[in-house]
Amino acid sequence: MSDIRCPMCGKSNPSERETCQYCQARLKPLIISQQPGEPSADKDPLEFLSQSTGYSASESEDEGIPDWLASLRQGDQTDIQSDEAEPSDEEEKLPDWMQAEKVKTAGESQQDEGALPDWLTSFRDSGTTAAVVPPDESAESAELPFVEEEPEWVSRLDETAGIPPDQSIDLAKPDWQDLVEEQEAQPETEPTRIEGSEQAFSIDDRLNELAEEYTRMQPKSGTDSVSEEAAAIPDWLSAVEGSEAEEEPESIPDWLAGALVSQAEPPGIATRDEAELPVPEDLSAALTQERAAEEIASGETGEEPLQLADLETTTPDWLDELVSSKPSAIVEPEEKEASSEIEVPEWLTGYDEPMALDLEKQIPDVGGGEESGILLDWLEEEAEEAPKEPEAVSIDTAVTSFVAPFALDEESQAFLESEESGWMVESADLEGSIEAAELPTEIEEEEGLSKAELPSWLAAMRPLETAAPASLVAEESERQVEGVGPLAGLKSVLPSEYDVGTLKAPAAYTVKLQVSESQKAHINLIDELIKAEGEAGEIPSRRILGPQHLLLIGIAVILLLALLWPVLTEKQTISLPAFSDEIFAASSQITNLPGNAPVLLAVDYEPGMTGELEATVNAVLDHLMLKGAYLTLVSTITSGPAQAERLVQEVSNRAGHTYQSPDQYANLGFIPGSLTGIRAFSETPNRMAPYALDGSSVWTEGPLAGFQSLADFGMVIVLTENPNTARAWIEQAGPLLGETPLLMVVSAQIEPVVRPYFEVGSQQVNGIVAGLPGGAAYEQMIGRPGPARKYWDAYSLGVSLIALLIILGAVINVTYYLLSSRKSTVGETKR
Amino acid sequence: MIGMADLIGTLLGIMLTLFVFSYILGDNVLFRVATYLFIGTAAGYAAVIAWYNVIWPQLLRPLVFGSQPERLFVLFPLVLSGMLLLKVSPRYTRLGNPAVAFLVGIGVATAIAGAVLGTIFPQVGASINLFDAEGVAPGENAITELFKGGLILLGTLATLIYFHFGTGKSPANNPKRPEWLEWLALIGQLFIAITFGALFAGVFSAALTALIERLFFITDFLFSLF
Repeated sequence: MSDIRCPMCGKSNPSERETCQYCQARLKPLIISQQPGEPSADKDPLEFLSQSTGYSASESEDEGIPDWLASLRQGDQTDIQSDEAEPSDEEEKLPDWMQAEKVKTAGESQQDEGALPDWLTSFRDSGTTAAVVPPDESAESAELPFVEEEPEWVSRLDETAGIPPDQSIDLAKPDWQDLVEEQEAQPETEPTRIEGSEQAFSIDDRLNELAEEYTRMQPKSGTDSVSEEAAAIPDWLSAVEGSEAEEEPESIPDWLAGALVSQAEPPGIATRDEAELPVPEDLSAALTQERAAEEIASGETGEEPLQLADLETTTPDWLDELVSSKPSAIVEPEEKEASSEIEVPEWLTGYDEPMALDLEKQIPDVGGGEESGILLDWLEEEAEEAPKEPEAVSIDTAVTSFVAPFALDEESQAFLESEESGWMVESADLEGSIEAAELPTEIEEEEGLSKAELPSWLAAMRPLETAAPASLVAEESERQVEGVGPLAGLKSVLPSEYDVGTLKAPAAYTVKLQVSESQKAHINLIDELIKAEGEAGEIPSRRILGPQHLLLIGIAVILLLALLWPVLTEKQTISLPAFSDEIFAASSQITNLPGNAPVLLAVDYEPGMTGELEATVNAVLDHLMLKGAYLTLVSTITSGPAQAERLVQEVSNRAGHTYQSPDQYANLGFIPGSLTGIRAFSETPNRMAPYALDGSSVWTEGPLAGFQSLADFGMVIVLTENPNTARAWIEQAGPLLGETPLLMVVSAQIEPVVRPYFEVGSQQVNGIVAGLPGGAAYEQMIGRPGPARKYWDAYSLGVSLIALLIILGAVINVTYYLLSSRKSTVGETKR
Repeated sequence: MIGMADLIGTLLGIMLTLFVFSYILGDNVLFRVATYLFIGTAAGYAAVIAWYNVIWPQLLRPLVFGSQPERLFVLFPLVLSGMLLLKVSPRYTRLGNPAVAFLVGIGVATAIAGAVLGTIFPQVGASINLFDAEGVAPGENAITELFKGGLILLGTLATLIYFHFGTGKSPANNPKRPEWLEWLALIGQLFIAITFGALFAGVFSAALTALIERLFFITDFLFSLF
């Protein structure tokens, strides 16, 4: 059992299947039904012959079908109706196209040899009528105007053919006709059934004539059988004329059988055992006609035309030979050559009718002889063309879409590809496809065939040159004919396996960034720097006893020895310094104090400077205590009150005084606010420090009772080592003191800062005692030695040692600098 | 006789003194212990002083025990203090801005006023009076005073010029001060150096005195033991 090839995936399927077992596509083409969009999968392929299309002129107008085609259809429909009403004796149910063919045959006296017989023309009309319809309208135009019911011979053909096309054609596709063509072009191993083939055989007279002509044309071999068969009306043809119900199998003329065979095996399709060729009803006629023509022309290509090997009916030998010798329309593309000029086949000249043509007019009213003559003429032409080389015919994809999907002979193909066939495409609104199609190839004149002269009416209809497809399809694509799939038989189809053979490895474009060597070096360098940034660098090990460290320790030792010498020897040999003006002025101020005068003592030095300041202020406090001054202790630092308390106790104990709080002194504690606190205290001391540290209210009773400002005090003494504190007291409290003297007992380090305030004419500071020298001088002035005297020897030795070391270091550095500069100079001179 | 408390205190003092002296060998844990101990003690004492000497007597006691006028008077610093405490919270830090602004404003005004009235004006006047021959004190030489005044003036101007780095446009695009200005800046640099030397001497004197005092403290203690 032969398999059916799936039109979609191209895989073989059992013949009994209707859908592909791989892709579920239909294997058996659907026959176009009268109703649009109504599939008829199980419908007889030739059922269209017995169906009336019901096509109306209004539909044609809507669909853009040429008027001539519409008129044809109308005429067919009318004919069908008339035929139904008045069945004739012999042609009871003759399709209109057949009748038209009779008429047309008689009227085609103007056709030259090779002109298409009328019956065939009408046959083609009926088939083309469906072909010119746009693919999307194929459903709507499925109704054939001239086939009302399926003739019996058609049904017998179905049975005898046995094997429908093995490739289902989806009528919904726009180029299903091409697919059918391809199917037909394929060599067939088994006979298949062709749809619409019965249509061509419904005219007994016509057939007889054809048979006779062809018999004469064919060689001797097989002619007897051909002539016998051609002379007799086939039974199947009679049955068609008789009734539709007749189901007896009828014999099919040999020439028709050959055409059926060629139709059954379009190229590109392996087998069509059981698949039905879903040729629409309106195209089946044209299909059959063109197949027949192809058979004649296919002999030159050497390919086997479509064959119906398993047909029970016998085909005339002449037809067989014609079929075997004629090349199929859709043959190897390499054997065909593009022809520049397109000649309209003679048989197809009558195909191009003006739009207003009436079908009845087309059908000439001729006798059997004329018909046969006309019929055989084209057959003779085909036979003459047989030995010629096959021509490279490029199929106009768009045009072939009009044509039924069967093999086309060269002439028909050339005609379709010619410029004249452009009107067919235009009417079907397929101009675009025409433009993309390749130019029609020039068909070389074959033997026995001459160029057909266009009739005047056809020439008048001929579209402009510009309407012809101008673009040339690439030669390569011309040669490529799609063999499988829905586009089978079409040329200029981009193959799915495009350039498979020419595939090459794609250029290896590296996606990596191209980095040069220098860039790599820079990258590595930056990378190392970044990495090193995060890494902890090695700290060079520090030598415990380095030269600098040794020098430091040595200096410290010398200094300590110098300082400890007086301590250890308990000798005080160094005389005290002389007092300066500021010290004298301070002393004078204190001396001039009245007895038990309240003195404000601001203790604003840090604990770390206690040693120096206590040694400095000791003599001053001793002097104040000797004067019996009432000491009022305040401080602008938090540790001040404690230090002030300790100071008074130390001085009192060392000097032998018995100063006790709150009788001899009062500790008012801490004054907050720094500058603003000093200012505020200077303005309202009782508000800033209402109570002493012991809780007693000194402003209500005692020596400070009734005091409103600092001006009420007898003296203000500031003890500080901070130049800012000293300046703050001078700036904030000084303007509010009035005649109250302000003394500064400061550290030696801020004496330069405070001295200008003493030397100014206004004397904002009335006395300064600065550092140990000041304290020592003050002690010498009052004649009461204190810690300053104790420390003075050590201080003197230490200062002397340090001075000596400084001088020595300076000398060494200068000498080293001079020597190094001289060496560099000498070195540069030598160079 | 040295009391026990004094003995302990003295010993602690000596120990901490030696800890600080250990810095001569470099940074070490003993020195850090001494410094940390000092910082902690000072901070604690400061907190106590702030409470007993400021907050309680000047803010809370009038608010609690004071009269109505005293309470009203205290209410304003109380509110400002509360707003100042909100500076601790990042969310409500903006609410403490008015208090900070009040403090800063008052402080700046006080400082500026004191600097202008207490330092600038008197010092400028004094510098001008140096060239007043009639202002020379009796017993002093006018020329000496005049020279002194000139020297002070020169030193002041030279020091100010030294810190002036503005120059005019130069065609060679090489900004440089004029040569006479460079000489004055050099003199100013000299005065600055002398000033820094004097300051350094004072610092050294203070430090030396502190060292001597500590050394005597230790030796006195040791001598007292024996």
